[in-house]
Amino acid sequence: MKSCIGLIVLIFPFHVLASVEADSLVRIYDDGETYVASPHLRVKSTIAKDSVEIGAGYAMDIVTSSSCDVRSWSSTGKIADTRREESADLGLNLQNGSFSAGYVQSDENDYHSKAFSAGMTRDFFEKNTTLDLGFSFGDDHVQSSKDSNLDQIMQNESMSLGLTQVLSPVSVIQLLYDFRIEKGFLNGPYRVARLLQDNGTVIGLPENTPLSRGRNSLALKYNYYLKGVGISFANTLRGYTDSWGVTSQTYEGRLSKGFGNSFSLTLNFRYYNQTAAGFYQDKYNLSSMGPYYTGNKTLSQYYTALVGLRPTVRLFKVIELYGKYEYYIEKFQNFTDVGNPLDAGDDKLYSITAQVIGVGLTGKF
Amino acid sequence: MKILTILSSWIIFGTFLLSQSLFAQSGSSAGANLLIVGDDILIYSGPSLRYRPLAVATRGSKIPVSLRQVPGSGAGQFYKVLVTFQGGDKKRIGYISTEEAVQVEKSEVDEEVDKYKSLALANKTVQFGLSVLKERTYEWTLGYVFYFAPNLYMKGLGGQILNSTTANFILGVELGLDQLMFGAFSLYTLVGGGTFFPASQNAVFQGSSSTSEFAQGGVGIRYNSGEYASVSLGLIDTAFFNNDNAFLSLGYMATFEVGL
Repeated sequence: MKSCIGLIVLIFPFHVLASVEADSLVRIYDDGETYVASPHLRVKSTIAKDSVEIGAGYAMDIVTSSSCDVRSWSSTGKIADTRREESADLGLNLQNGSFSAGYVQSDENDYHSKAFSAGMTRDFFEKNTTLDLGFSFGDDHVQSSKDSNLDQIMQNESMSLGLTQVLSPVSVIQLLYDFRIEKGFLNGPYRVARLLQDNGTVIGLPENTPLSRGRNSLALKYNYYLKGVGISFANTLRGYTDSWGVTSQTYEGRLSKGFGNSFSLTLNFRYYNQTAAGFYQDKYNLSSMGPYYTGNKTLSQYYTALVGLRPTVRLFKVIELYGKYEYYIEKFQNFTDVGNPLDAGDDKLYSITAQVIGVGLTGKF
Repeated sequence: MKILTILSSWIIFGTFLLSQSLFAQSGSSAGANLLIVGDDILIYSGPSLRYRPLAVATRGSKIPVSLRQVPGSGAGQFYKVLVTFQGGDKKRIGYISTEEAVQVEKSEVDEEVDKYKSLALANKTVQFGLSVLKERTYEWTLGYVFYFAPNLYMKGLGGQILNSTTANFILGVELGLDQLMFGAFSLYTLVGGGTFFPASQNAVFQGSSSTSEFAQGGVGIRYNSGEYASVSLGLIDTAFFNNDNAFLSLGYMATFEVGL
């Protein structure tokens, strides 16, 4: 990160930087089994009469976990890892739109990822209509701390298309289509499918999933500002389907209200519901299992719900201090916590209740 | 004395005439604007409706215009106008048909429209594309490109995926945005997709069957040699896939196109 910011300063001395915006956030997730501390820092600036925007970011996820998978199948019962992410992006103002390109690199002990993305927007009808086209390419290396010889590749590509329409001075609607395809090692190196024995106990079987996964999502967003009470509403409906048979629906809402010039409050909520992948089973049976089997709970049938609050205080006109609190539940309909694999009587449907707190600071200079 | 009086009168008269002529000249150098009276009017990159649309002028807007009309390359006359884009520092010559609902009016500011060079671009082109993908795989396509709005094109394409053993046909469509950056150079982004027909089972990837699909995205820089031709170089992100497996590659692409 230091090198990224240093490079920006070296290439673009401060006197040519028209404006600088810095955002830092520390976020903590805790569900009782998994604890994640995530500091983020992002800096962006404009140059060349605001026609070029450059940015850089750094983020970390410091994870310790003793989730049900870890407890049941890991010899230590607990894992710890740190993910580091560096990003850089460039934006150009064009005749009637913009171009952007970005690069993100993420590394942890057993997973390394590089992704490149580019996109362009074009405004029509006096900026009332905007068309977005974009794509990305990612190249991931999956490794394992249990097997030093494991180094598998997972590639992914995505293409997106978006159309935004201003409906009135206080409302805007957006339609987004996104296609993503993943190819390569889509298994978890540590995850196991649960194979049911005749005596009711289970043994772990390294999972085997198809070599590719095509994902389609369509989202409709509608934002509205209610002048009389000064509240803005942001709503998103999203439908998703993929080649593994998973379908999902998401609703997200956000209400924001300003109180004077120096304080605002945002309430957000999200509901997500998905069906299981076609080959998913909580516990497989040798006589009925197909070629693909998985222990990935995110391929089961489940729903999640989240509600959050974000107060923001403006200080000295150029600095914003904000807090964040989220309450999150995840209920699995056909994924069980097997507990002790050798004890057939301690299985129970798995669920997560988590709290997320965060504090951030944004400055515009 | 009489001669001196005549000479001085001439000098005074001459000075008056000179000042009048200079004044008249500065008056004639005042500019003109084209007031858009009708609804949204297309501004073309060349003096004909067959050129690529450059921008849309909305009702009530005023655009600097040359006082000399330009004969169209087909029929009719065109106004030569100076279009200012986002930020105000990007300017391009465009053309509006004299048959559109517009009015010429005087302007205090002379933008000297005739000093700017125009870059007429073809609205319909035939494009040949060649992409170099990983594992000695190549893609060539021949496409018909049509700009149906300023900077926005649709392309129908057909071609082949070539590897060391097979040639496999593809058929698809592409949507792209192409925006002029500086001079004759433009920056473009595309997304597309379609069907591909493997020559045999497992031809492009293990599991490729009789018909599969492809999707691609790309970005590149194009040099436009007027309405006649353009060449581009860029990056292309390609996926050939079905429900069983896929071939994904980030590669390089080059295109060459000629205007129709």
